[in-house]
Amino acid sequence: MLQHIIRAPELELSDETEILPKIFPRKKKEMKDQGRRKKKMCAEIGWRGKKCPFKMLWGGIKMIGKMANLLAQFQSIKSSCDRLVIAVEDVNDLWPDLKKEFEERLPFKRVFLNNKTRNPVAVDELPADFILTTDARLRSRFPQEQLLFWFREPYAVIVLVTCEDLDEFKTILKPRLKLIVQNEEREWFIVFVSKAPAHNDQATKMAKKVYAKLEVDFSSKKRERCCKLDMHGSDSNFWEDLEAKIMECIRNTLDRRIQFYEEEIRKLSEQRFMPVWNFCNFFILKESLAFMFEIAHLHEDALREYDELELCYSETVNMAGRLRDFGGMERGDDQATLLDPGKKALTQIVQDDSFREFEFRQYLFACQAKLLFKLSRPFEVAARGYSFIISFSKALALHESTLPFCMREVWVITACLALIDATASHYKDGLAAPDMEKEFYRVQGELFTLCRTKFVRLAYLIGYGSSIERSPVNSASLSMLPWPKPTVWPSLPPDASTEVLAKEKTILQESPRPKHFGIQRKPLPLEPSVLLREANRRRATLSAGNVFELLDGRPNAIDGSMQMSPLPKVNAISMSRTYSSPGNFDGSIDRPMRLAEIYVGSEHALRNTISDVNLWKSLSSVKEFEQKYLDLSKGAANNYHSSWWKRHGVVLDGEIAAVYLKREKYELAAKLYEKVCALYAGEGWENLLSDVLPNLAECQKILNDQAGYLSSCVRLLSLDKGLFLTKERQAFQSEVVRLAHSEMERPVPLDVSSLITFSGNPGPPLELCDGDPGILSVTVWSGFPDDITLESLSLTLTATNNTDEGSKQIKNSDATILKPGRNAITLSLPPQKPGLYVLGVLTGQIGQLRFRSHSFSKGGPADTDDFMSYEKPTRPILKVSKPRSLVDLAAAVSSALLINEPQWVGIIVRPINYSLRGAVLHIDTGPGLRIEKHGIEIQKLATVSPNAANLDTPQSSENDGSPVADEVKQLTLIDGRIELVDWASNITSVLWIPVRAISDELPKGTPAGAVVSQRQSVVDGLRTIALKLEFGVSHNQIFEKTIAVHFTDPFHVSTCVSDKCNDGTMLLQVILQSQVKASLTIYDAWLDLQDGFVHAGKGDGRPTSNFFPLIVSPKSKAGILFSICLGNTLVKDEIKELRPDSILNIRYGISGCRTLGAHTPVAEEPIAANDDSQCLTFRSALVLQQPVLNPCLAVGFLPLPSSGLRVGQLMTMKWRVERLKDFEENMASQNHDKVLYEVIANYENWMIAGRKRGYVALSTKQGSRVEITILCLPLVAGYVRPPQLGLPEVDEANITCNPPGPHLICVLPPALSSSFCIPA
Amino acid sequence: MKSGQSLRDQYCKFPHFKPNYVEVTQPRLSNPTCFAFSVCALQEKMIVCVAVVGHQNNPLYIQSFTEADDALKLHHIVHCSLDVVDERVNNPKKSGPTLNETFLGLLYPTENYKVYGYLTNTKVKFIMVTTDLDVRDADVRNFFRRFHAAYVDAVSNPFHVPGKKITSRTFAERVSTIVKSFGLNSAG
Repeated sequence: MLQHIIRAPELELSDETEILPKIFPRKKKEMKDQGRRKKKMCAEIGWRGKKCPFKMLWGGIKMIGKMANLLAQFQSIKSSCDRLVIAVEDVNDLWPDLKKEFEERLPFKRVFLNNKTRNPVAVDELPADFILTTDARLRSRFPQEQLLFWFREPYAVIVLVTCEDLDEFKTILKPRLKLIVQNEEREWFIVFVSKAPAHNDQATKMAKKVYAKLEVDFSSKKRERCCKLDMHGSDSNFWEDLEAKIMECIRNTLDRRIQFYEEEIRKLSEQRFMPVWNFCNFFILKESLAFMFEIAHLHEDALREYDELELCYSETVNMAGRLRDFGGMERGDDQATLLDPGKKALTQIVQDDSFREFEFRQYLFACQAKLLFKLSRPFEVAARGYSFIISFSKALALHESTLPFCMREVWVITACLALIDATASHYKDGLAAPDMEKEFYRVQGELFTLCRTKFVRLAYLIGYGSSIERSPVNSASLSMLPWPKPTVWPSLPPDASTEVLAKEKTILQESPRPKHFGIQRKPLPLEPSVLLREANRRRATLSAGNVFELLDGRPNAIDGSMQMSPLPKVNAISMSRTYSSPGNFDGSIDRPMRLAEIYVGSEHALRNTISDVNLWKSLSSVKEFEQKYLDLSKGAANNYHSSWWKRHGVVLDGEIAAVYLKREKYELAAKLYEKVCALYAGEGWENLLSDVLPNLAECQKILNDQAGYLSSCVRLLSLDKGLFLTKERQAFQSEVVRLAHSEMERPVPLDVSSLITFSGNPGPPLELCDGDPGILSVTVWSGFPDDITLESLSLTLTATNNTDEGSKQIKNSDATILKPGRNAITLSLPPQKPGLYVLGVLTGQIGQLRFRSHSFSKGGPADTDDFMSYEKPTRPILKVSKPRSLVDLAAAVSSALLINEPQWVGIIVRPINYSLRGAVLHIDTGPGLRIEKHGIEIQKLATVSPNAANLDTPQSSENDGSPVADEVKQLTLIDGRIELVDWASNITSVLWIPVRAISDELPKGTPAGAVVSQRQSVVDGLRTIALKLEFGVSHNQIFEKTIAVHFTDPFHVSTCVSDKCNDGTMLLQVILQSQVKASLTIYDAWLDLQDGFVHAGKGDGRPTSNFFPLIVSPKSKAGILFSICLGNTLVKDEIKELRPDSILNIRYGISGCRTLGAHTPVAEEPIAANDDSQCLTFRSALVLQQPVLNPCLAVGFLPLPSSGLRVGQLMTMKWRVERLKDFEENMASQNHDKVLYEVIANYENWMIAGRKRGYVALSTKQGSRVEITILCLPLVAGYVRPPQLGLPEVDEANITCNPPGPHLICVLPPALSSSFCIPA
Repeated sequence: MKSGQSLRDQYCKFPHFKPNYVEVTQPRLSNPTCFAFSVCALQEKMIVCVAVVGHQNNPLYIQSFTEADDALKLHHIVHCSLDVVDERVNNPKKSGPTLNETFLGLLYPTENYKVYGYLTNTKVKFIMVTTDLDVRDADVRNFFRRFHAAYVDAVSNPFHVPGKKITSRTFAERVSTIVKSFGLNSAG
């Protein structure tokens, strides 16, 4: 062979270098360099000829076409050589001694090599071999061989020498070394070994000298080529030096070889679209380079070479006009070899000048994968592997007609499994960045899924279709995956009738697992079209018509694609096309295959295809299939869980759960199904949820997980109504009701928010006053398909203004029946605190099931996609207003009523926007007041303000202000309670209550002009009535008020002696002042005098009757004169019986209105208008003072200063007290010589300084006198009563005063202050 | 209207049939020639499913265009493709220059069908599943642009509640027109 190569057509070595520079002058230098390099290379391999050995080489290969041999050699070299070689030229037989030490240095650590782009790359470990140049491995090579497989040539030459004598060096060693080095074009350096022992100075010196000489001779300025090893000394520097030198050599060699390969490759690749192109040549070169990188541990570069190789292959493999064998027809090809480059020798796959695609692409990928694993990048292997499998699967599809049946599917399965195993075993957690890691797991998951899909497809083909879950996942991956397309569908083997029978039996027996709740769904398709038709079509013996006949009555006729009734038409068209193409016709079978036959045929064909025992075992029985299916699903799910693709993982969990369910591992199944349901429910994919949830429910039912089962049923019910039939929904409901009422021991709480929703009624919220109960009406929407009975139902109300309060529950404990759809529910509402309330939670009970619902409906049925539960604008349902006055009670009349007479007390009952229906008034009178039991009246009060009517137009008040007569209603008082009438519930009304104020005291007349404390009389006449009104819906509202009613006598009486006649007769003037707002008619008046006074004349003390009746208008005065005189008319004994007062008797009548004040007393029975008994009698006590007859003391008011009094001006007020007679016996006081005095003044008018009350010494002798002085300051200007001096211990009758009665003095206004007047 | 009613009754036998689906397919079924055409489309180039998915990954509108009663598998495909959308959105590094683009491109490189995605500014996703394995990117972009416009019109309806399913019949009709014209455009 070599002879052939050498004799190959020769080319001038210089052709390029000589011609090109003329054409392209600028390339001249480049060309020169190139030429120089080539020459150097030729020298290196010892080529002496003028012709270029490389061109000869390639030309030779091309001509002889024995690529296979070369390839085989190449492969064997590759497998035998896996390290860099360093040659050792052992000149002085030193190597046996040094070998051990040298090899200890291996592998080299932390070295830097240059990669293809001349950038330094750190290599952690570089293994290498030291081989003696005399070794057979290096010697027996021919130059051509060397060149082709240059990568295995030594990368460095170490020349080991020793010499102890300078002369010997000069004469023997140096020439020899020169000889070696001259011919040595490779990288070399000399190691001088000094054998001189350390203690022998002479020898050491000599060795140094020799070494120095050596250095002079062989090292140059540019490059150190010598280093020295002291065998007996310890020179640690040597090894570092040695390593550095070796590395330098390796680096240089590597650079040079890279350049060489690069150049060759470039040249070849330029030709790749030419007919002379030979891929194998290119491949050998390229892979040599890659391999060289690999042994130099420049994996990155090696990988790049393989990538380029792949690219070039894919570019050139299918060049026009070259129909090649694809490959994959051999036994065992079904097992992917994408990770094992050595599985099939390259020589076996050579085809013409290239390789078979099937094997070669796998080979390339395997090489890449190997490098990537070495680079610790298993994730990249996985990612590249996945896309490789996809693209390779496409390539397989193109050649499917020639490949064995289902080769494509089988290959993908094995490829995925191999890739998964390899990458997973190389992958360690934390190897890559987190996002890379996630991506890795995703790809693993994808690989599992892909593998799973293909596996399931194969299983379907051999008749395990019934045990494949017809889930959306499987349907999505399988129903769009075309059937395998063999040229001819595998036919039934001749002796398979028993198998067919068995299959037929299983087909007949199989029945889809019934879904829980009797749900019936058309199963999702797992097949792209009906297998029966597809298989028979591929056999190409049937007409389109037959297909339909064939399908009738077949168990598989319910396949999904049957729905697409027009489809067969289309198929028929394409079928006829198939007919017309020759060669596809298989006439041996004329009968259409039955399904079982198809299964058996496929099974046999698959058995031939599948060489992997394990894979075939997985398909050998349904049980094995299920196990593998489970494993693959688990693998996919687990990997997806560790990746970004959570949904994929969870969905596959559902597939795992389906297997568990079938295997009756319900607990595991339930757990997984829950995950799936949570995923679908969480994002509102109800259609998908409706597919899985019944399965979960079934598991829960079997596991007796009542709470879970109930919740699942409720969730099923709350799904969109269109997803289930009414019958199914009713089944859900009956399950809920059955469970709720039967088996559960403890109540189960459940959220039914999606099923039962509620809302308040539209319109404004119900308004209630504080403390009022009410009735709340709400709308409840039931999502149950049938009526459902709730044992109880309650709602919580949440105050919007007050969140601390929490919410209050209102209950409807009666059983409620909810119809499907809208229900109006009324709930009684206990009194609530003021505020706005919204509906909170609806809770209720069905048997032992306690449900709660949070969702509000917006006046319609529950939105099925309300799962998001975002904040809804909640409408207040109830408004409880803040406490306010709901009613007012007031006295109707402010003026005084007659005391001691039955009088109407009016109480105005004024509801304030609040109904008083059914109100009850409790009346409790205070002391001195009594209610007359009968005749309580109620009257409507006119809208006109009663005050205005009273004050302005008393006349019209009769019409306007007074109640309408016909609305008067009699009421009765029972136990102090009055029930108000209904018509008065919303209007202001007046309640008239007859009362009598009782006063035992006789009113007293006062001397005219005396200061009368009005207040006293008012207080005396004041009576109170405590009122308590109970009202509201359940008398929950209470209003209490105590009103004061003023009673008074009709007259205030004051007297004065208007004149004293000489005969001792006095005219007593009695002034009557009316105190009521009613006109009084005096019919008669007489005076019962006290002792010491008698009526003058012979009269009986009555005024002339002609004046009567005397009418006294309201608040006006009248006067009567009585003439009396002093005298004792009675016997002494009688005196004691008499009162010390005179009594004025007045018989009078009153005509007033009860709406104004005092009026005619309430009669128990109606009396005639003119009856005398209408007259009332008023009695008043008068104190008549006898004139001072024996004065003992005289009090004289001393005159005031003449300048007059001014406000603000101090003045002295003086009284003189004089004893008019000697102190008498009857004064029982011890203080005979003292007099108690008291200054009485109106403190509004006067400011007084000094002792106002005290004793002054006054001798008991007649005529003794004393002056009482007090300092006063007038406060008001005008005529005012001055302070008075009283002597409290002395009887008034014994005091004579000057002036005798009350008198007034003039006080001037304060003097103008001059300080305010500024002179001009 | 009456024929439509009876048609609806007829299809009510199948619980998975959505009323609006009936509306969409009605003209096709009633017209045999048109129907035959759509079957051709099914065989060759066809969008089998379009979906609008809300920003909480809830389906707002999902419509399949297959004749078979297998909408559920398409639901599954659309749902699972959200994983890819999520991944792209959550890993801005990966999406790289397409960060600001609404068109997400091919989500799923499976053997048998392709899933394309589109993400609006409001995180509403449009998903399209096609059995056409040889689609031009520009066609898909154009499709999504029109689909987006239709969606915007549909949700601009004052009676539409944002975040709720799109029930507009007009929208459904418009989408089916867009889907049909997609097949035509790429064929031509």
